[in-house]
Amino acid sequence: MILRPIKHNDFQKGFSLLEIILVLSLLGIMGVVGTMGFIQFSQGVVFSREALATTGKGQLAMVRMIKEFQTITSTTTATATNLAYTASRPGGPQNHQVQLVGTELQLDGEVLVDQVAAFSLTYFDTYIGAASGWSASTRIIDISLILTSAESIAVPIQTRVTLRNMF
Amino acid sequence: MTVRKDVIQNTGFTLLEVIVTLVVGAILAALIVPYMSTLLTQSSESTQNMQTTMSVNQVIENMTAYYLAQQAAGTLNLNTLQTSIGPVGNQNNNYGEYNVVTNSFVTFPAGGGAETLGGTSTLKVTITGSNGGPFFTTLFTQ
Repeated sequence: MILRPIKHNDFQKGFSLLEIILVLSLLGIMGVVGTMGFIQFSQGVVFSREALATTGKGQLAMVRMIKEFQTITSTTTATATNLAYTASRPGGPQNHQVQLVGTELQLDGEVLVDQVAAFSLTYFDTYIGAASGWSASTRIIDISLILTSAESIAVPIQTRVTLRNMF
Repeated sequence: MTVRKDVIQNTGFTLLEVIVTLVVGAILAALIVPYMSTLLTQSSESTQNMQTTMSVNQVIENMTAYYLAQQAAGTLNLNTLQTSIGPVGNQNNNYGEYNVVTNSFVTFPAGGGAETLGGTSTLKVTITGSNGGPFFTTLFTQ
């Protein structure tokens, strides 16, 4: 009977260096991919929150201008970015001014909305007619407002106001 | 004997274990993907809703402009206005693109309560965007 010498190696059941390297590099790749995905997701969450804030600001400004312009009875300045007007109010006529100053849209000198990329007012006599400058026969004002949202994305908002008190 | 022992000591993962792990991982991933994707894809809906609101408002203002001009000229005819607004469904005309939900004459009972169809003096118009969105209702009176 021949005694087989016991080799130490026979009982070592660890991983080989190749296996460890392979597993670690796979984990590394998966970690990088996962982290990149998570970063993109986080950026998306921040982006959507900023876009929501821009939407809220834009809506507030538009609704305010609609309410302001509906009761206009006359104007002293009426350009694409500057409108000084007299409006009929329950307590009597009031004078107000909506003006684009830089990237701020201001109502009577106070900020109505900021981050304005473009703002323009156009004046119409009838709802099917072509745009014309302000005159005593103006009955409609178109408001076009473009806000700069997150990631410099432009959010265009467009609506129209019929001037109830000009008829 | 030594060969047989080697086979027994060969302890990797079995196919079953690998499959179970993969399936559990896939289920977890499938659960989290819809949550994350709706959070991002629906983030633009508020902006779209606001833009739709403003464009439907524009249509209402056009109708109002026509109504007020006719009234000022003393030629207001609610039947003509009703025809120009159009029947229930999608419309694309001088007022703009919109979807008519209601366009009919209504009367309000003297003692209060819900309006009933009929009459000739009050036209109730409810419209929404061509692709849905918020509803706008307005009343045109003779």
